[in-house]
Amino acid sequence: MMGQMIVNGVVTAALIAPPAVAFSMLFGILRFPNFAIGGYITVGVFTGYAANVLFGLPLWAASLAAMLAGAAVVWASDRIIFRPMRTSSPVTLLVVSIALTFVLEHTVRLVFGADVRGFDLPLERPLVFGGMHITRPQLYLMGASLLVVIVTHFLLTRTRIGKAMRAMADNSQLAEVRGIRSVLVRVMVTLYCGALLGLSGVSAGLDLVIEPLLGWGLTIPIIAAAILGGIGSVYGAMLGAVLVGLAEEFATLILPSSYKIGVGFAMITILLLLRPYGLLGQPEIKK
Amino acid sequence: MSNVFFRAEGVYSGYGRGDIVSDVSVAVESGSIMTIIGPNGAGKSTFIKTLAGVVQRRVGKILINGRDVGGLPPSEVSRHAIAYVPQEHNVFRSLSVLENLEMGAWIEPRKFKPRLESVLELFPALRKLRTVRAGNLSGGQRQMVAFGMALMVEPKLLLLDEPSAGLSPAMAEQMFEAIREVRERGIAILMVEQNAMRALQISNFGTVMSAGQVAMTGPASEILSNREVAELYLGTRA
Repeated sequence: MMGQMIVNGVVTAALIAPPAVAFSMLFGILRFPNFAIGGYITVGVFTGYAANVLFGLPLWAASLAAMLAGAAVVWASDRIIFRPMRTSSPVTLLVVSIALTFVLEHTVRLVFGADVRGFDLPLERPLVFGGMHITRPQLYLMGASLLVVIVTHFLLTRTRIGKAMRAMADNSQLAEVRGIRSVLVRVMVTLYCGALLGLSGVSAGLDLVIEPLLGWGLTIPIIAAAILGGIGSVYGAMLGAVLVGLAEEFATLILPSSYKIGVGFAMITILLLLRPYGLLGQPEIKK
Repeated sequence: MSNVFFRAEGVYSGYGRGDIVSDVSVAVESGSIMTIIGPNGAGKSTFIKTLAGVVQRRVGKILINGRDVGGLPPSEVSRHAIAYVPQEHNVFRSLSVLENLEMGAWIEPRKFKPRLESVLELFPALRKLRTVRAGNLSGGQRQMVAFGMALMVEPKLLLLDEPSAGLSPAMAEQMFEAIREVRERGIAILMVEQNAMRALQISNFGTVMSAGQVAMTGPASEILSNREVAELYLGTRA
C-alpha cells in the first residue's frame, strides 16, 4: 500500500511540476501571481482533445498542438491584457488573472459543452511492478514531466536566452542596463510557459477526466507547489511539486480523498508562517 | 576641454512632479575621469541615472558623439557604448560570477571570451570565483563583478555611481586603482563619489553639484584647491 501511495504521489508530482515551473517563471518576469494558469491548462487539454479525438491525431501530435495553443494563449493574454497593465499593482493583476481564468474556461465550455470526456486511448490493464499499479498514460505524463524538467534546466543554465530570463527575474532594471530587452525576454518566457501549460493540460487529461473546470481544480496544488519551493525559483517549484504530490497522497491515510485539495492550502499556510520565501526562495530585498 | 565626445546639455530630470536635476550640463573628454561631488540630496545619483536612461530626461540633450541618446530606455542607451554601474543591486545575485559577466556581454556575445580575459586581468580575484553565485560574494567582490560586467562591452563611457560605497578602505583603494587602470585603456569615466578627496585625486575634471544644479566645474586640481569646496565637501581646509 505504501509503495502504491508513493507511485500515486509521484504521478501527482509529475502532473503539477511543469505548471508549477511555468507559474514560477511567469511570476519571475511578470512580477504577479498569474492565477490564469488554470484557464491556460483548460485551453491546452481541450486543444489536445480536439486534435486527438476529433481529428484522430496520435497523443504526441495532440500534445504538440496543445503546446502551440498554450503558447499562443499565454502570449496573447500578456500582449493584450497584462503588458498594457504592467504599471498596475500585483493585486490588481492577480484579480484580472482570476477573471481571465473564468473567461477562458467558460469560452471552452461554450464551444465544447460541460460534459466530461477522455482522450481516445486503447483500454489497457495497468502495468504491475512489485504489486504497484501504473497505467501507460501515467507513464506518458511522468515521461513528459521529466522531459520538461531536463529541458527547462538546459534552457535556464546552458542557453543565453535562459540566462537572460534568470537575470531579468533576478534584477530587471540591471538586466535592462546591461542591454537585455525586457520585451524579448517577456515574449520568450510567455511562449515557453504557455507551451508547458498546454502540455500540462494534456497530462491532466490523461490522469483525470476532461472537463472545462479541470484547470481550476489544479490551480491550488500548482500554486502551493510554487510557493512551497519559493515563488520565482524554478527548482523550488519542482521540489514543491514532489512534496505536495506526496503530501496529498499520504493525507488520504487520515483524511477522506475528497479533502486532498485542502492539503495544498494547509501546506501554503504552514510554510508562509515558518518560511515566507519558501524552501529554495530568497528573501525579498527592498530596493 | 578638447576631444569632448560626451556632453549633457541643460538636463532636467526627477521623480514624480518635481525636478531633482535642474539645468545640468557636463562634458567628458575621451580617456578622462570626471567626478561629480556634492552633498546628499544634490541630485548626483539621479543625474547619472538619467544619463543611463534609468530615470527619464525631461528636458535637455544627452549627446554621445553628437547623437542624442536622451529619452532612450536603458537597454538602448547601453548600445551606444555607455555602461552604467549602479551603487546598489548591481549584480545578478542568483547567477554565478561567470554568468554575470556573460550577461555583461549580452549585446556583443561574440566578444565574450577575449573581454572576459581582459576583465579577469583587471580583477584577478574573480578568476577563482567564476562558479560562485554573486549573492554569496563579499561587498568588494560584488563591486568587482559589477565593474567587470560593465567593462564586458568595452564602453567608451563608464558611469559609476559611488563605486567605493560600503567598501573597506583597502578595497576602496583597490577600486580607485582599477578605475585609473580603466582610464589608461582609453575609457572615459563619469563618477559620482562620496569619497570626494580620493576621487578627485585620480580625476582629470570635477563638478560640484548642489540642490540639483552645477555649482562649480573645472579641472580636478582646481576643485581640490578651492577653499569653499575643501571646507564643505572634502573635510579639509585648503
